[in-house]
Amino acid sequence: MDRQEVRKWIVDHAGERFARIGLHADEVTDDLDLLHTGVLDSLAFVDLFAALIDATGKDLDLESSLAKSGSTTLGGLVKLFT
Amino acid sequence: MNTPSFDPVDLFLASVRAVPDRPALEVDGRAWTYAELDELSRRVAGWCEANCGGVGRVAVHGAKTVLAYAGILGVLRSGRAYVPLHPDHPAGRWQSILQRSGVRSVIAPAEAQADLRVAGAGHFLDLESLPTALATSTARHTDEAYVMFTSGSTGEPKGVPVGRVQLTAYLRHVCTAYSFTSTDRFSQFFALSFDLSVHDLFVCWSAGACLCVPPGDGALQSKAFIRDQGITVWFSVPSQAALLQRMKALQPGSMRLLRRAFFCGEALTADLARAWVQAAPEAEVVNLYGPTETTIAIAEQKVLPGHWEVPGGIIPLGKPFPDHIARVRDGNDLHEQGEGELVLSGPQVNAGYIGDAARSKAFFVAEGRKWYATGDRVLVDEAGVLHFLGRMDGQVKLAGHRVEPGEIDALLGPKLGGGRAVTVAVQRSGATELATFIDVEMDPVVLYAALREKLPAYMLPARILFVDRFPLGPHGKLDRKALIERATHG
Repeated sequence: MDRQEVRKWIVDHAGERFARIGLHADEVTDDLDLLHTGVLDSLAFVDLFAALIDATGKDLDLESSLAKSGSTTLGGLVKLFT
Repeated sequence: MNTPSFDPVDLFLASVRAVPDRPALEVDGRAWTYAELDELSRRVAGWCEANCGGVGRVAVHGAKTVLAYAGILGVLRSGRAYVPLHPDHPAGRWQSILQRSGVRSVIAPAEAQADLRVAGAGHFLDLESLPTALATSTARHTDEAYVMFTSGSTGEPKGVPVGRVQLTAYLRHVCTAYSFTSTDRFSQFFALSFDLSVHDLFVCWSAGACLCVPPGDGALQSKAFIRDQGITVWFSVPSQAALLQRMKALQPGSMRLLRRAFFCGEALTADLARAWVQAAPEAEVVNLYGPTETTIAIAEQKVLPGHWEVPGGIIPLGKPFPDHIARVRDGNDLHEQGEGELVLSGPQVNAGYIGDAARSKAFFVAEGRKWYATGDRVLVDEAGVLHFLGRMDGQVKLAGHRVEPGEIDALLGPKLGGGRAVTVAVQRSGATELATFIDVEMDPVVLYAALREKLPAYMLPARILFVDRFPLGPHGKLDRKALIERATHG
């Protein structure tokens, strides 16, 4: 998947959860931190990460990926998986 | 020979005398020795003496810095009780907590003080304003040690004052039943507004050990934290272990340094316990159980490797601590064995709720004893072991946090223009989450905004869903099962 496809996949996947922080899906920007803003809790973030591995075929280690700055933002995740 | 005191402050002070130069706390990349934490907390106690008069409660902002830990110690040293405020909770929740506990003085970092002032706080202490004068008084201004707030079904958080005597009873048991040493390194995952954190702090400090506070994403990076910090004593909710399992981080033998692991706050499945035992083969694993009202935990079950065939696939809650009694309630009758609502009696049972002590039906007297009715449905077997079966009511546990779905519904009700909200718990992908149904068409963004003013993030429903009409059962009552079915599969 290319960058736009990965981004759309994540936004679709998180979908209705953006409302939790007062956003509609079309208002989401790349610097949105999916974990620390409360869009996803830890478990949902791990599930999203695992689903991204399946969807993209890119086998990343979550723990070492998290050590990279900005990896929990939408843009950071897109970068990791493209 | 003197009988040792298990009062939380006495335990800390005994370690100050025994191991003054050993680390008591590692937080924000810095270690604080027992002697340093002793001095800081005495200065906090001095501030309380000078500023809080006869007031028995002081709030502590729960951002995990040295200020919060010294603050908790200092408030207790000043003979007062602390009221923790979760740093991520909305100002509306802080306001409710401050009002209900009658607190205006808050120990908080400077950057949090503007929001706290809006929430009703009037006096602040931070590291910069910490006086040099040390406390001199040993007066007690309250019998309480702390006040924890849990979810309340009326739309407001419910305050549980926990007594110093009750906390001392807890520490007496845990500090004698399990051995810890000054070379131990304790994890400190729990939020300071979660009563299990009280175990972290004072069990650790009773042994002269080091309390290690994880940085950043504690839960997601807990495996690296154990490894890098040399953690020997782990304490978390089972959800955190499940997270590690989901991350494929529980490989056999991967946590050999651990020598004890405690779990509490929600059901521990046998599958998860087995994976944990394989990952940490040197660790004794203990399943603790207890509502906040009975002080941290009141029953214990050591996990026995190989004994994985347990009823319902859930590790038993075990037996009550010594001096405590568990019964199952059937109407007005209490039974030693069988199935029913678990009721508990003993020195760790507290007095009631803030502003509600007399009215609460959860606390009652029978057979000449005071009891707390847990709302948990259990089986007490022939050996007196408690087995968790479920809840008597709709209360839900999310990562160990108690959530009354009715609190969400009560907050949304006035926003729905005559409509109604019903929140149910559903299992999705092996985890529990909340789904709220509403019977008027409204933008969920607007409703979430209203909830965020009052509720912590963990209490926000994962989804808000619209229904034309609420489904009814054969007797005209709301059919919650139909809602759960729809939220799970719809």
